[in-house]
Amino acid sequence: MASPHGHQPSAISSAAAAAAPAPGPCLGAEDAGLLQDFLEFGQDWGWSWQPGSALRILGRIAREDPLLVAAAATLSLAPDAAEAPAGIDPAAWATAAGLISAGNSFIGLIARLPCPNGEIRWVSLSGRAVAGGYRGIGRDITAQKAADLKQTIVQQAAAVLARFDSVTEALPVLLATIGGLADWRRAWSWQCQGGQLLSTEGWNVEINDPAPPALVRNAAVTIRTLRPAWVEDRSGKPPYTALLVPFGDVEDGGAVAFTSDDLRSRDPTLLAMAESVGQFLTQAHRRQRVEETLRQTTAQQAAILKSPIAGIAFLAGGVYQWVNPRFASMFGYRPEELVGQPIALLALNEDAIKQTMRDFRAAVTRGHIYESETQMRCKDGRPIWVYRTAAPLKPRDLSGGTVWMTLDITDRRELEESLYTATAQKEAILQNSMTGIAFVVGNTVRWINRRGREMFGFAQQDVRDGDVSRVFVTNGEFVSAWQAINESLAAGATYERELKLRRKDGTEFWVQVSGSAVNPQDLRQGTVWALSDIDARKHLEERLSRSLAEQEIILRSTVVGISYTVNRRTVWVNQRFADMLGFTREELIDQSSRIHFPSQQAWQEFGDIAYPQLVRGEACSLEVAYQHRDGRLVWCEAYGCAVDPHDLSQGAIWTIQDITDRRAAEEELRQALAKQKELNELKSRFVSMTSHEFRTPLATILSSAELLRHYGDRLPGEERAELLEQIESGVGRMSEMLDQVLIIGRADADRLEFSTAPIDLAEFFQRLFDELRIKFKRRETVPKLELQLPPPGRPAVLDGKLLHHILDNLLSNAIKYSPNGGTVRIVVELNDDSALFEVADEGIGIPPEDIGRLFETFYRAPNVGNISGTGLGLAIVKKAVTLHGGTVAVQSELGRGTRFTVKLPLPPAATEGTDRLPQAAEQPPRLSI
Amino acid sequence: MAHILVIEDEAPIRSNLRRFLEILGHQVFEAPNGRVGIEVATRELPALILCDLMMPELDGFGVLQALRAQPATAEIPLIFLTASAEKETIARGIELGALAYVTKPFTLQGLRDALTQGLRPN
Repeated sequence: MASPHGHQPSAISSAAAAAAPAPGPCLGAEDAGLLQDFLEFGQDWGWSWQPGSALRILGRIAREDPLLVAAAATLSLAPDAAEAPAGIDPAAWATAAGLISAGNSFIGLIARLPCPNGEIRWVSLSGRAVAGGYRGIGRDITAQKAADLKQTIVQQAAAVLARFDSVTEALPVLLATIGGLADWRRAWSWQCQGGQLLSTEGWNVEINDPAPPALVRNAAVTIRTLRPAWVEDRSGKPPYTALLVPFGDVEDGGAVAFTSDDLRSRDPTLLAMAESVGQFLTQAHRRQRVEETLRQTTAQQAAILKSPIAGIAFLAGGVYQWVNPRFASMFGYRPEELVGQPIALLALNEDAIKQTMRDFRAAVTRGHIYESETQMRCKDGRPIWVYRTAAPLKPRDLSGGTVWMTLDITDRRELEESLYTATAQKEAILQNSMTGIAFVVGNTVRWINRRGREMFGFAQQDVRDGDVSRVFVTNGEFVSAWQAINESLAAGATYERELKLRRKDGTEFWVQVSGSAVNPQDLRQGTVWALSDIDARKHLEERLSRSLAEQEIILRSTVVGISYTVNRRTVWVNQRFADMLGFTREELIDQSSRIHFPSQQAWQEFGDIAYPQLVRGEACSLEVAYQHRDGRLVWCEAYGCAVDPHDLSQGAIWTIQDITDRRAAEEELRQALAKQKELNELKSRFVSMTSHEFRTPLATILSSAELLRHYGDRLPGEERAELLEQIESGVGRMSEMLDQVLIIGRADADRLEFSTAPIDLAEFFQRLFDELRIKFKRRETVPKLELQLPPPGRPAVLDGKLLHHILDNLLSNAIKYSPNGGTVRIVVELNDDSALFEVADEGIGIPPEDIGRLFETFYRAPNVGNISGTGLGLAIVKKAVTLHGGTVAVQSELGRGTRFTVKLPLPPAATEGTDRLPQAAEQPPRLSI
Repeated sequence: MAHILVIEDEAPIRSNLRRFLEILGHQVFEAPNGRVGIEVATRELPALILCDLMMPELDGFGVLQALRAQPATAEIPLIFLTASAEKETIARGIELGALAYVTKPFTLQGLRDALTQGLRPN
């Protein structure tokens, strides 16, 4: 094995060593510049070393390659050191150190420098001694070194592998060679059998220390993937990069691993090379395996015993002494199950054994080979056909045992038998066929089967060579038919027709004939005819079509719709059915019934419900919405039953009745009930609301009154005043609620009056604001009210009372639900045909999901919190607006405010002049409270 | 003389209850809704609670359940004030552990009787 670093000592030039010490050169300025340029632009660099300090690199490289600088700093060049510096081959160092000590210069000292990042650099140093140290020129030869090594590895590997046939022999040499050539530090190999990774045992590898566990794991993976791979383990001690080369396969193979401490040496060419090494190893390994196997048996034995076809058994004393696997498997056994068993085990019966032994002895005695086709019994009792030959081991002597060769011929026998049966059957079929079959050449019958003869009432002797024209009713018919037949057959087509033909006794009957030519190009070779007596069918058809016509008339004239469907396609409908759905009969017939269903889904669902019942033979009754041709739904009661429940392909009969009116009446009733239920709920909500809303102010009134009566003399004046005020406001609240309840009650009973009159808006709002001021006087925070009226001159012709309800409620709400004050803006606009009232607050707003129910009686959004209310105000607004024929709209944003817009229609402007009212001011008045 | 908590969303009723209870010599805590009521009850541990039944946010039943669920307040006697005279409502309150109920409108005498019952030493 080569030195661990793989350097050749010859790297040191002995020629240079012999040179005399160079005198200090005198450099001119130009030369000095040149030297400067050389160090600045060349690949080489200068270096210097002083004892006790690190190797220093000079020139461009010193700036550009800090890794090299760091790596070089580890190198000591003291010539008197006991050992060679790390990274330099000892032999090379011995030579160089000798030169240095003698004051001579040295050339091409190769050093291996580990970089801080794990990379390995190779440098070549040349230099000489100066003033206690050395200096000289260096060059980084890493790339060249790698290329050289690669080249050498491939060559050496090929050389080694060529020398050995067996991988067992080649592997250690290969490992040693490659390990020595490249910068590998370690090498291992594993064997693998049956997917199990074995140790390196059996492989003569020099390195015996255990491989890192991570590497072993990766080797196992590599063997499974069968691809060479780089593995890196930076946590390993020492850290390493490994090249894993698998060979063989997981059942029988292995892997070789080379590790290096150069953590960057992942060269793709090396990987490609590893792949070809692996392939070679695989081939060598397989060859070796086969050789080993063959070595254990003789060629002859192997050839016979491995025969995959013939079963071989060795018999002695009527017992199986040895059988090959094929023999055993033929009968469903394993070889060891048969050995020691009597021959009776596989024989069909005792007689078969006796017969066999008799025949076998006879053959042996005459010196013949015994040969037979016979049946034997398998392990599962099934008989199989075998072909056997047998011979005694000693000529003509059965006592020394016999050898039996057996072939399974069951398949062949079965094939033969079916062939025989088929041939025999053909004649039987032709003769006994329910179809008449005839072979005709020219217009002469050459052969006709029994059925054919019976059909026409001929005896066998009547027919042979009889003239075809005899079976036609008239000669004229024969001539025209025969011409058509010949034309059709000559064109290569089958002639197929229902013909009225004549029996021997002269009676006429219907026959379906179909004929084809043996060879259409040459009709003289004959024609083959199939004949069916369809007389009965013909008569039946005629009868059927008559009765169908009668039934059709009946079905057409019924008042129920009837349809006959097969596989959900309409085969027939009566007129009534078509009329009910607005189609013509032609539009429905031969179409999917889907066309009179409103959707694919409805059609599907109908089928899913109906057909299981039909299959069970039950009549099926369903209410179904069909779709009229004009798109509307027609509710029908459909009643269906299968023609034959066991065979739905025969179709189903449906009768339908229009029940749209009945459905509508039912629906009306349902809605009335729902309405009633809703009213009941409303009533109960009303009772519980009134109970709470009346009892609460009553509690205030009663407790205030009692306090005044019993303790009035003890209470200060302002408290007494407050109690009185509470009584007043409680009473006010109750009467207001009573008013609202009464209004709603009247509105619900349609007894709310509606009569319009011109309204002075300024005066109206002045009064409304006064009322609100009293109503909310106890409230701490009241929003500012801003009113914007249209220019005076045009009166609003509306119902004053209802308008009061509308605006009182909207403004009360705006004030109530603005707990932080802000401004409530009221804008009134009068247009040609409508009055617009807009009330916008900056209050708590209404949740979007509640806006839809806002105008329902007693409905209050959940964000009202402590603010009291009846849930009637907006219901009243809605009623009052509706009575005007107007609209009310809401826009709201939670926490930002709410805007109600009421639009009330005004009577035509023609009445304007007479309704004009005197106005106090010309400017639109702005009021506030 | 006892500490009594009044939970009532209707301000005039609440102030009247306070006046009356103070006249009777009790110290009164007030809460304008159920949520605050539970906070005050937990903090002050009053000898008796008067609680309105129908309140926004958390009703009287909710207050009672919450108080019964925490050990410190579980044993405080509670009297419902209710504007509902329905039997089911009252039955449910008693079932949940209310000591008594007083229907609105109430008389001061009726209230005094209920208080006496609530403040009777066990």
